[in-house]
Amino acid sequence: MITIYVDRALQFFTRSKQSCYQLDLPDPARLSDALERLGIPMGEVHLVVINGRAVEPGEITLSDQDIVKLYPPFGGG
Amino acid sequence: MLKRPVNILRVDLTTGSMRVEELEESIYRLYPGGKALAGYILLRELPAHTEPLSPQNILVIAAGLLTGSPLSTATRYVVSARSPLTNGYGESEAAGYFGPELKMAGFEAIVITGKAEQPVYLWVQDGVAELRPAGHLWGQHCAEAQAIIRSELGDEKIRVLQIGVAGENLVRYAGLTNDLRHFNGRNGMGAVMGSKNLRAVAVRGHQRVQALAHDPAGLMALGRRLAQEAAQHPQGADLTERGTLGAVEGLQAGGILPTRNFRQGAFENVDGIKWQAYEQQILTARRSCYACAVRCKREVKVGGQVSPYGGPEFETVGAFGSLCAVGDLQVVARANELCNALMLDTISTGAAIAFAMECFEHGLITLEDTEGLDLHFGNADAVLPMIEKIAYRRGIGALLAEGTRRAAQVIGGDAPFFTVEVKGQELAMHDPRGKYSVAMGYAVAEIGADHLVVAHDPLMQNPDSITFKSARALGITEAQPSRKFTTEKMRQFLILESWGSMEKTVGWCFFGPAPRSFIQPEDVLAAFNLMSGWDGSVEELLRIGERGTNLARLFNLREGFSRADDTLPERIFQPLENGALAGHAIGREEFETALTDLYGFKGWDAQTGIPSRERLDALSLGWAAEILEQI
Repeated sequence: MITIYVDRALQFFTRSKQSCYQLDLPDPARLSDALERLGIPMGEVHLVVINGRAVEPGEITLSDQDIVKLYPPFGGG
Repeated sequence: MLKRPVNILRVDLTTGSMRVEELEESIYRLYPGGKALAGYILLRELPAHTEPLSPQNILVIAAGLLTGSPLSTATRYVVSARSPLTNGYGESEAAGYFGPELKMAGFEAIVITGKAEQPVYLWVQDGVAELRPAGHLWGQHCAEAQAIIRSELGDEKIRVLQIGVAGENLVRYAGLTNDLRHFNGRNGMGAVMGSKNLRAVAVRGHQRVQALAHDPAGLMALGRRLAQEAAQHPQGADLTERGTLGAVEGLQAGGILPTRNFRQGAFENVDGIKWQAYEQQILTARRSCYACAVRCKREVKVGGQVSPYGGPEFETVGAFGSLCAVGDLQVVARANELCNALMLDTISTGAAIAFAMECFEHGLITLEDTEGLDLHFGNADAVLPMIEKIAYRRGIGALLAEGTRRAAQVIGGDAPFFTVEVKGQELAMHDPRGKYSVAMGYAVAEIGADHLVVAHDPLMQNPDSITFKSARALGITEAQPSRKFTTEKMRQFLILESWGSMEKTVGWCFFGPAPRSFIQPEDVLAAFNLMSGWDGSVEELLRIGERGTNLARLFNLREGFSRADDTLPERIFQPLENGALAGHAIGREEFETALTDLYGFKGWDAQTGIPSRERLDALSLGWAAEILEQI
């Protein structure tokens, strides 16, 4: 089971506007599969934090028990 | 063909005389309000080396071609003068209601010269202007002053643009507010107004701006469509939902939330100041500017009472929160309210306090200097007293009111290393070590460090993002990484800077046009043409923007600025101490190479930064060439 926190701005894309999802995915899983499950386009994710470590989205592998946080780009104003 | 002349109200405060100047339409097409018009006026009329706080400085208040039209985010006006903070080109934009009301009252701009013998305010109503005594307003908090003006003029719908006590006391980063919630915060424009003994400009107008449009029906239809589109775009939707406050957690995650005076990029107590805390503790409502569907403004309660000044936005939460290592949102909200009541720029004020904290921790400022205030980072109890000291120039506040650059010179020792400013204006709450276009914007902006020069790198980094794709019409097709200076990134920087400068000219808020937000370039162009009847193009819009940037550049060159002033603070060439980008710094050499690239794209000399005659001619600025000879 992978825990995914979705920043409020990315909930724009998800069907149910939750901030936290528990996803039952194969181990290992691809980030792109998780995003597809949630309905979030990969192009709209700017930052992925996996178990406290920030990485930029791309070919990312997720393991069981991972805690993931997804952030959009922020623009300033 | 415009439906009414372009009217500039000229006010001489020394003599009390006023007149209306009609600007030729052919000139207005080159300088269609806001930034470009202010630059045109200041470069032509303000003599070089005019002391910023002297009666000879010229204060320009300029709305844009689109300001007051029924389009979401077309609400902006600028306030410009020579800046007392940087001694260079000075400018600050704001939205709210003042700009539209000024247009409705029959004016595109107000140009103010001289100094009144006694405090006055300017009252403008449907084409008529008068100066009224303001002695009874002097010293008042902004909410009280606005209430008095509306009461004595007998109309609660009057829009009031005013300075506060900080401007009266010539604090070099004093600002202006309209409707108590919208701020021309940066660059010390409030001090310029205070030095003229001008407390406020009150405006009331009844001419509908859309009736002045070349195609009113087309403009209205565009406005209705844009109002729907705001919520359908992820950036527009988040600005409504959280305002700018989502950035607290977002920048924290990216390791670029300015913390402890930019030593760090992540704040251990961020949970106390992030959106979740804001929504739970202080948020009461979401509000808007004139005719805008985005509703990015926050209303809050402070100490249990709804604040008349609205709630802190991201910059303020960063400046009084993470920058000072204060994790208490109640204190941040009170600091916001106090700054707005006294009309201080929250960014420069938070930066001044953070600078003082670092000096204190290094023993350069003592408890005697602070009259017993403990200025360790994180001491929330110090924040409100420091704001008062600065606004009233009491104790150490008198020194900090001069801005961190001047204060550091006086304090001496290592103090200059603790300033985080460019040209004398302090950086905003985005660490440039994570966003290299933001870094270049801080470095080259004529007004000093400004975070609103170009769309921020994260919006332009992913080729599949909605925001990146929306920049295609501007000639941007290859996404660039956030933390690399590439030649292509500098080519794109010029385009985005010109686009942003155009926004500041015709009256678009930063939260309207793509790529930052939801209004696509073809609609930005449509608005321009529907309002004016001119047959413009995206290319013309970019030239308008580039023209405004070059006017400000020439102004600065004439004041003695050079390539050496287009730089970054020492701290930014040092590594971040913590967070996702711990150990990361910008390299001096890569920065200088990028700056040379950028000057090349701008048509500016690589060594001196002076625009070429060819480029000035191409921008219809050949008349400004004689200024080149003065440099």
